Amino acid sequence: MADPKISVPETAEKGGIIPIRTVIDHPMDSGHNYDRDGKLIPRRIINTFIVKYNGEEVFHANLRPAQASNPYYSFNIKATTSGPIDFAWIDDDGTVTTATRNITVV
Amino acid sequence: MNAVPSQTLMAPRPLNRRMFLLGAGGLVATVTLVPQFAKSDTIAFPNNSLSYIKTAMGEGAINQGRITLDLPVLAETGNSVPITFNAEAPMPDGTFVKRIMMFVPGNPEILGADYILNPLSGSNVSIGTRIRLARTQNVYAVAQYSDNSRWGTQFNVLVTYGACVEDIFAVENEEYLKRQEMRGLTVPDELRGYVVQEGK
Repeated sequence: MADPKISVPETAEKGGIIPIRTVIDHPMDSGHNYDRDGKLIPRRIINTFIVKYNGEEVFHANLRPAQASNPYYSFNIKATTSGPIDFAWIDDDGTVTTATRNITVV
Repeated sequence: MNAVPSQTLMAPRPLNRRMFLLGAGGLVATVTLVPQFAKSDTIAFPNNSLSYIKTAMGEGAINQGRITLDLPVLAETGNSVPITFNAEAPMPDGTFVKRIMMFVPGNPEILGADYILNPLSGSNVSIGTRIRLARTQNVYAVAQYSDNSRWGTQFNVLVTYGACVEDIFAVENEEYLKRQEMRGLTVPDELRGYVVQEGK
């Protein structure tokens, strides 16, 4: 998995919305496709995407083979206090890719 | 009815063709109004999705409304179809969205996605992502609110070229070569530049 690309604003208004967008490179092999030799390409996807805000889990996505490759997500979080926003992508093979962004709530 | 001068309605006249058609039109309008009042406010989900809903959200009817899907009506390729889940939240009584599930009955696996939210993320719900669709189908979504009420919707997407067939035909596609490298596989040189002829 390559480095994820994350868009988080540097500051947010208290009580306002933090718009977050993330994308990560991954083939997301669904386990239903065949290669040119007719062999089944085994399933290998990112099965979980977790976002924590100040240590609290705010967004937990159980990804499925119906997820397109290079999973992209955009969602909103309500701004409460300044602190870290942690991202984690968990691969079928056990690899965990993590990233952190800090946000200042004014 | 406003277009008809009042005298014509007042005057005792034999039933001519125009009056008959006006009357018949009114009758049809009355009849077609009835099913709208009787329209169900619950939504039926595919049978094989019910076990997932039961496990995650419990049993009971699913109301129609509150959640909407933003999807293209026509998707040229099913490999990457943009989808946005929008839900009315928070409600006036402060309830938020606890969980959202998406079902794609036309795909090999019916459960398409499963999102667990909390008050911070479930109050302004607009989740955007991209999904695979194997064929033309109805995409279903159900949202569970914090008061355990369930609200669902569906959207029909016409898929011109479904997912699950891409790898065989996309050998010259750069994206495919990149993915093969990520899998640790290589593409034989003689296959590079291979183009599938139309009709074969």
